[in-house]
Amino acid sequence: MKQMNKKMNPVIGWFQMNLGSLLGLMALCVIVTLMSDKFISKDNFLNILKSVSTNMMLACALTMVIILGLIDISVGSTVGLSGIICATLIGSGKYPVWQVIILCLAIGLLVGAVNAVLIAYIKIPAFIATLATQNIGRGLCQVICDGAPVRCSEESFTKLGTTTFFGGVSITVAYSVFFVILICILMYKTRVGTYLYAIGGNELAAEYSGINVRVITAIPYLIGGFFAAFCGVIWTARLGSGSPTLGQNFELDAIAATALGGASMSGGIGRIGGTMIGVLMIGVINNGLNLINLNSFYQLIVKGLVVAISVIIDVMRKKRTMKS
Amino acid sequence: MDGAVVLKMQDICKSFPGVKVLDQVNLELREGEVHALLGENGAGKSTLIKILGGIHNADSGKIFLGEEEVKISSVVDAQNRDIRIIHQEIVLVPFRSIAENIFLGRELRNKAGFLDKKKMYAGTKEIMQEFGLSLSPDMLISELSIGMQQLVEIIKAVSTDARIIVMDEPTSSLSEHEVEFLFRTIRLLKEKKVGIIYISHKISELYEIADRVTVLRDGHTIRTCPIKEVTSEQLINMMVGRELTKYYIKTENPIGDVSLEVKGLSCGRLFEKVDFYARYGEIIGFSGLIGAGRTEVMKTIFGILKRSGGSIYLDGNEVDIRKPKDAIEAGIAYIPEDRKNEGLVLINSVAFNMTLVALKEIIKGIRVNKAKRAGIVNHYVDAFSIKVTSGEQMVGNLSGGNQQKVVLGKWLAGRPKVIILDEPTRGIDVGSKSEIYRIINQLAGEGVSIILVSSELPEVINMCDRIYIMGEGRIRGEIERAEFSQEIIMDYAAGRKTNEANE
Repeated sequence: MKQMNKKMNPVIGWFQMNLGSLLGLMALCVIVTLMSDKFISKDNFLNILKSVSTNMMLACALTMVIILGLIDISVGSTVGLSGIICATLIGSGKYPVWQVIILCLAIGLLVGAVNAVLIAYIKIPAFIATLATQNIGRGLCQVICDGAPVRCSEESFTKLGTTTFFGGVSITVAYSVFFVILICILMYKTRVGTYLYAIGGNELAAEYSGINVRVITAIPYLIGGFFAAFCGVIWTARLGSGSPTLGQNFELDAIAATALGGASMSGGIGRIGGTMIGVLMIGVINNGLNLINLNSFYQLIVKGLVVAISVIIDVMRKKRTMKS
Repeated sequence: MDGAVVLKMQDICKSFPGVKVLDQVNLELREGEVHALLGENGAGKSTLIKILGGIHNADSGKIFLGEEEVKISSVVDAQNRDIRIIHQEIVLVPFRSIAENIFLGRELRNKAGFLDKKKMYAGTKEIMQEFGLSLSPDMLISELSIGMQQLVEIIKAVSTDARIIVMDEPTSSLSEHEVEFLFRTIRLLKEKKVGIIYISHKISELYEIADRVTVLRDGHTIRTCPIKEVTSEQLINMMVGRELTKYYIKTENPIGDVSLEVKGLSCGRLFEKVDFYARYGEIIGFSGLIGAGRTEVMKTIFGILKRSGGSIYLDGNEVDIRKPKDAIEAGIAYIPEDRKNEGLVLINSVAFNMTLVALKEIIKGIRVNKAKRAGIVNHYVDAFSIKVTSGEQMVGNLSGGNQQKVVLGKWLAGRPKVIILDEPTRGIDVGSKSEIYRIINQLAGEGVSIILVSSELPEVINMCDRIYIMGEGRIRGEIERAEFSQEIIMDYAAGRKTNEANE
């Protein structure tokens, strides 16, 4: 057994670790630049940041779930549920804004808690459990507003989603940066992160090391529910109205970003940094296709292809390193 | 050896639905003692250990730690009482560093409450140095060999203040060198007055390391005594409960023409230019240290790994094996080392597993020949005396020995010419081992070529007609039965000696 003591610069280490996704992101930027001269501009970059800010939060939560080797497909409908409740209550003008927001966040936590109980305590497969909560959540959205969009244009509320500062940076970007930093601290500075990797890598090892597997498993679902509810609130504020279809397929963009960032669906592997790059890749794809006026139906196809291709490249790369 | 008693398990009983696994079992452990726990698979060793580790609760009986009677209610409870269990299967997190694994569940934190990675790395380094292991704490577990992983696991268990350490077959995947390291570690722990319960099927190593032995059979304590007072034959008889007249069964079988021949076989960096041949009716052994490339050679012959060079001949004709299907059609059977993951569909029945390879003979088009299926299953269940209630019993519920026999049946049902057995007796109790040797010998007598890959030297020495020794991806030597000895094999394996013909 010959082993050398390898010490490397953490920044270089980060670049190395995310080399694949970074190259992918750069390649996408080059392609979009060639296709549209509107891509490289300050306004467009700010626009991309704004459009990815909610996906960034959801993708961070999904990354934690996927590191556990589990999945959560209910976040999109929780965004919708929180959004529609928020719009209905604020639109009615009877309740103070801050109370409504707290209620919405509490509902998000509740959905997360239901998921956590189903998955961590009753041991229902995560896909099925969150499929159930996804359907229930989406159904509730329709019931609450009777299928029709709800207006809520009270300014003290909408400014939570529309304010800009520093010459055009949207406030949603600030929210997203704030929460991503919190998640990074949780993942890399506290025991919770280590435990998530441990459970996802080898649940038995975690259990035998005295880790409370159920409690730790619950955490990402609670965070996912909370972030989804928060996203629902800021989307509603941004749009000035609530729609029962808000948030549809949001979970898919979040999962795609996580996969692009190098996480393994079987658990134990994945990094917030990688996911952030994945989120930007999805954002650049969406933005680029909008710039060249491609029909949104084709956008889905292109997004699917990019995800498939980049994951294939990743798998092949791993195979090669395994052999050597 | 008269240290104070650190653990006493008294009249422990435990039943699972339908079976009494432990019936008034007693075990006593003193400080600084290595206490061997012996018994066949199913004798109740694992259950006893799981009760000690807080995984199961005893139905009745008392547990004393020192003077105090305790109830061990959970894994965490057992850990808080300074009981450490090193499980047979490796329970480390593969994609995390050594340091993270060693401190898993008891991470160090700085004043702000955040993880103190530096301190944990330093702590890991220190403890590894203390036990003489020179690895970098930030290496990932997945980068280590299985043997090294096992050593890390042991270090993890001993890195805290343990009073009692249980080692469940710690040497099953260690190389000679790593075993030495383990024994050194154990001696160090003895000096620290730690009590060690040591479970192993390798009786010879017990004489080297153990002080006392307790033998279990069918959930009963048969005897506890200093190991020096009993011979290994006596121990085996106590475990099996009958006289095992002959452990290794090997007869002189007529040896025929060359069946399988391999020339210049290479597979990337795993191994290079491997030449060997096997004859009908012959048992050839593949010996060597862990990581020498033996399993990889076999997997390449069977088409699991892609060969990068060389050719494979069967009955003198070159065969092009690209996938396992080609190998099976050519008449080669491979019985993998890891029978649970690679050999069996655990959640399916004995009959399902046994007829998986021979399915073509049973199902023709849409016609299922049930009589033939039952015939094949019954034949092998009888011939190998597999203990099952019916052919429909789930394989996952059988003991290791019986599982291995099902795998053998599965392959024989396809009537192969060459059978490759990779560590066929690993983790199997003595009684079943002896039966597997009988089956191997019988197959050779029927004219099948047997390739036996094994890390247990007595096994290859007693069972084989010829042995190839591998090291670092090459064949280092070939010896005939007349020259067999542990020393010669080890000389070749460690690279102190090589065949002129190969260099």
